[in-house]
Amino acid sequence: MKNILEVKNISKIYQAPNGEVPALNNVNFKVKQGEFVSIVGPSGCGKSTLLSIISGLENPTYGKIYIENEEINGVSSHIGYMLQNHNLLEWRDIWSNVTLGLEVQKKLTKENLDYVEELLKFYEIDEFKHNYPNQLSGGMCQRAALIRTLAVKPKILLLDEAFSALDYQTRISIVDYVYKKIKEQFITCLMVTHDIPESISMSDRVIVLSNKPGTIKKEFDINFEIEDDSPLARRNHPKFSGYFNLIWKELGINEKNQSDD
Amino acid sequence: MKKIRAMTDRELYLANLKKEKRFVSIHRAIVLLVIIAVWELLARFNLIDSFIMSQPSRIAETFVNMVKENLLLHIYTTCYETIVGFVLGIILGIAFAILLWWFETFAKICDPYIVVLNALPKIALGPIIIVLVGAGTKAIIFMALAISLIVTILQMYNGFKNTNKEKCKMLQSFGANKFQVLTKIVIPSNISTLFTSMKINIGLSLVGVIAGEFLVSKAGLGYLIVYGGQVFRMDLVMTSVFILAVVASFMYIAILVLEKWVIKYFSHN
Repeated sequence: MKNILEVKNISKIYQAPNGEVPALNNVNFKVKQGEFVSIVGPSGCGKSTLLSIISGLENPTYGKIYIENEEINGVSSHIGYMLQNHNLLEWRDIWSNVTLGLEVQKKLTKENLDYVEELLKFYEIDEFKHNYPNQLSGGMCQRAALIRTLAVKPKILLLDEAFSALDYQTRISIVDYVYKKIKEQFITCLMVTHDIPESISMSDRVIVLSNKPGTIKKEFDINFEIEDDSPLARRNHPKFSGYFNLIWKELGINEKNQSDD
Repeated sequence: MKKIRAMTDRELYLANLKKEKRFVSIHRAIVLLVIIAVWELLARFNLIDSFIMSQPSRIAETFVNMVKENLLLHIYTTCYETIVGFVLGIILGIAFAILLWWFETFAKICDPYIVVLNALPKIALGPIIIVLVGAGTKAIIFMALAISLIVTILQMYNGFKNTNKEKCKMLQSFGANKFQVLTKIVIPSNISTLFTSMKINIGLSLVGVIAGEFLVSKAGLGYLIVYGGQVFRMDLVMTSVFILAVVASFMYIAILVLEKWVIKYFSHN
């Protein structure tokens, strides 16, 4: 499978009145088409900064981002960025919320709107399209936010703790649901999370970042070899705790370092 | 059996709620009636000087006489000046707040001036305003504007600045420009800030208009109050103050109604 995203030598240094604050240091990785990659790391290690840089909302101090071997500068329509909260606009109904991205990009064509209709049906919230966000459950809102992101047909989906604002039960079931749908659509995903079980249950690969400034410590290929693959099935698989311990060990060292500081 | 019992409880609760509401309304009216009655009696028995303190029956009499003359013109004048000052204050306030939000450095430069202008009692500017725009309706509207503008700027700018950052980031991730962030997120998010500002401003505009009418005017409720004071017709002053209170309440209620209507449109609860 060909590489769709390449993160090359990315470093980020913030300038502050009392000195420079390094956030990321020489981060390199590639993501293949259709692959689901997670980035985990201690809090404040620059995970979200990395996604902001890939999305084009922030510029790296050094390094470059390539999508399908083309260097990107600034916000690219090839990238869909989904944040922690659903951020649906409460004064708009679901339909005008999910078409917001298309509206911003002035792409409200019949073809695109038909695609949004399809997505609403695919994610089973089409009957609520004339409702308002406060009339929907947290899980439904998150699905609507995902549709809003997918409506602009991004080549790669960035998920920044996209499910962590949900309560535990909703989260487990929405993750299971979204994973199956994403795999069905063969969408390439890059997810940032602090939740190790979530990263194992969804990913093909988990990248562990070190403590500040974030740099790649280790990459783990996740391979369960289950026929009916899903986050719930993975959680019940005997290999699950093995992966958890491996990643935990990597992060545990970081924690020790943190307490040494 | 159980269902009937639950119904009774519900009915009892609703009846109690209604009863309490009626009790409050009746007692509010009683308080007003007692004040009017005590005032009237004190004046009748010469326990207070009805020349200075006036008395309800004289106020009613004056009111009838004023209606026969040109009370409506005075009410119209004050309302007109207040509404023009208020609308201008809101429009210019929002426009300036948008400028401050758009240009951060400009906001930093303006900050101390806005703080000083906010602290300054704008009535002190009265003579300057009169010289600047001439003695007349313009000066009065200008005074109302001077009082309400800075508060609107400060409140709207604060609202704009504190708009949910994640929502703005979400929109920017689609490649939205600053104008799109403003019109699609920042302004709609601040509808309630706008109404808070409007509720404060309608009162402030009225203060500005009355102060302006004290200084320069040939008509208006402020003019009647000053005129009544100058010719020692305290009943005229009292009646005008009473009418002013009613006018101010109506203006405030009008904004509440508008707010209810707009918020309903925007929030769809």
